[in-house]
Parts: sequence; C-alpha cells; structure tokens
Amino acid sequence: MRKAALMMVLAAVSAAALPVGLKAQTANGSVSATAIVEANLTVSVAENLHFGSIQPTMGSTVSPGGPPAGAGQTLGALQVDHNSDVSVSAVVPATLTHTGGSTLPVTFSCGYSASATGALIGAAAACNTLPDVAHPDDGTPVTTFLQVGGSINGADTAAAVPGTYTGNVVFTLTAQY
Amino acid sequence: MARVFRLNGSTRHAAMPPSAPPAPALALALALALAPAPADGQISIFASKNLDFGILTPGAPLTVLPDDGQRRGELELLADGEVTIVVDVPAAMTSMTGRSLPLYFESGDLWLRFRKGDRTVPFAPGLPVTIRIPRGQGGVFVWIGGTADPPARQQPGRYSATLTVRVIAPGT
Repeated sequence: MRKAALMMVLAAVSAAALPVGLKAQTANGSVSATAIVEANLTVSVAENLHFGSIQPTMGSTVSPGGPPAGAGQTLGALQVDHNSDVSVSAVVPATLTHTGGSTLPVTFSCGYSASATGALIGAAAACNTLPDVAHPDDGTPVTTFLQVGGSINGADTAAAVPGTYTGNVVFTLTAQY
Repeated sequence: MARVFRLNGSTRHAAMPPSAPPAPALALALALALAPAPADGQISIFASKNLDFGILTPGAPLTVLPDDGQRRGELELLADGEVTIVVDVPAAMTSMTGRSLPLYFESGDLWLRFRKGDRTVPFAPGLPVTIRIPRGQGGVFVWIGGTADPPARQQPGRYSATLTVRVIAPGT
C-alpha cells in the first residue's frame, strides 16, 4: 500500500518535470467602418401650369403626357435631377383663389416623363398618390420631369368672378436610399 | 505549507490544513508550483469607436488619419507582455442593397498607441506586428484610419464594413 502510494507520487513528479506548454491566449475585437453617400437631388420649376383664358360656362383641361392644345395653356413641370429613387408627396389645393377672395374648384393630375411636355413614363395619377420616381440604381445622374396638369369644370365658371385665379401645389421630394 | 493553483491565469495561494494527509494530488500540485510561472497572459480587447467616414460625395475620396480623434476607429487592448496583433481589413464597405464602396488601407493607417508615454507603432493591415507591453502600462490603443473611395457613380446610401483585430499572447 505504501509502495503504491510512493509510485503514484513519483509518477506525478515525473509528469510535472516535463516541459510545461502554456497555451497561447487569443482575443478578437472588431470595429465598424461606416459612411453615408449622399444623394444628389435638385428640383426646379420648368414651367407653371396655365389653364389659359376661360369663358364663363367653359372649362379647361391640361393633361400630362404632351403639349397642351389650348391657347394660353402650358403644362406644369418640375425638373428633378437625381441619382436615386425619389419619393414624391404633394399638398393639392381644391380650389384656385381670386385676388378678391373668390374661389374656383380645380383638380390636378400628374405624371413622370423624360421631358417637360413629352410622353409619360407610366400612367398619370393624382398628384398626391404618385409612385416613387424610379432610378436604375446604378448611381448615374438622371433627369426626370414631373408633369402637372389639371382640370376646371365649365359648370364652375358660370358664376365665377372675372379675374385671375391662382393656387399652389406644394411637392415634397425625398431621395430614397 | 501552501497549496498553489491557477485560476484564469492568476496565481492564488491557500493555506493547507496542517492535519491533511499527503496524497498524489498534493504531490502533483507541489510539482506544478515548482515550474516557472508563466507571464500573466490575460488579454482583453474592446472597441471604443467606429471608423466613421461621415457623409461622402460620389467621386470624392476621403481619408481618415489614425490621429483623427473624431473619425478614426479605436480599440483598447488590455494586456501585458508580448502580444501579436493583426488587423484584418475588408476591401469595401457594403450597403443594405449589396452595393460596394471601395476601402483602402495603407501601412500608415494603423497605429498602436501605448497608453503611457507617446510611443506609437505604425503597422500594416493584414500583417502581424509583435510588441511587448511593459507590466503596469495597462495596454495599448489600436488606432485605425483608412480611405473610402466612392466612384463618381456611387449609389447613394449607408455603407458599412467590419474590421477585425486579432490579438495573440503566445505561451512560453
């Protein structure tokens, strides 16, 4: 019994006499590199929307997608220079306002095009329900025109006070990325 | 008589009850205690600041220097003794949509900065650098600069990448 215990002690000491290999310690850390590449988005008014001169009981319509046919009419257009998708929202008035305070009901319609009076890319829509301005997602600078048309009903002009009526459609464009 | 054991790299001593009988386990512990004690190898590293290139304009490269306290990446390494450090850097940052934005790192973009004194050791990405941190110095900072180089037609968006710092404290 005592001999066995002694052998166990000797075995333990022998094992301890061998070179002790200490395991290397490792640790990993990480940091992020971050950047934001800003979008290029500029918007300018290419043309205001004009309904022209309207006789009482007569209406006027200016449609997106081509040059207006009526005398004195112009199609409204915003020139949008962008390098990403762009979302569009609009606050659309329901009436045009006379300098004396009278109002004239109006509706608006909008669409996208490659030119101020050219054919539409996609369909016309209410100006406050437009889809995003699409971009090929390759970073290239692109110019898109947001055409703005509208319509005034003849029935609403019958009793309208003569004069100039104006209104503002306010667009908010936001680069998407 | 003392019983010695190791716990997480530090040496602890505990009193041995005088009446304890000898045993093989005790003999082994004694033998181990006679071996040269290794240098403390406890290392830890943590990030304290990301490498922030801020807002970039397509076509305009931007370089962040490692001594730019606002924008450099920074990690703090707590250790003493000899350590080997390797920083693995990516070739590009990526956006959520998978777009890439090239990144460049040169040898002067990575610094080891000792916590005490003004000693700075520049080193290159991807290559190991070995230093000895004197006991009591606390460790070093890893300062990381670099260059982001968005091409003229870089897609707008948020880009990010992960830089990994590996630290090895060799055994004896």
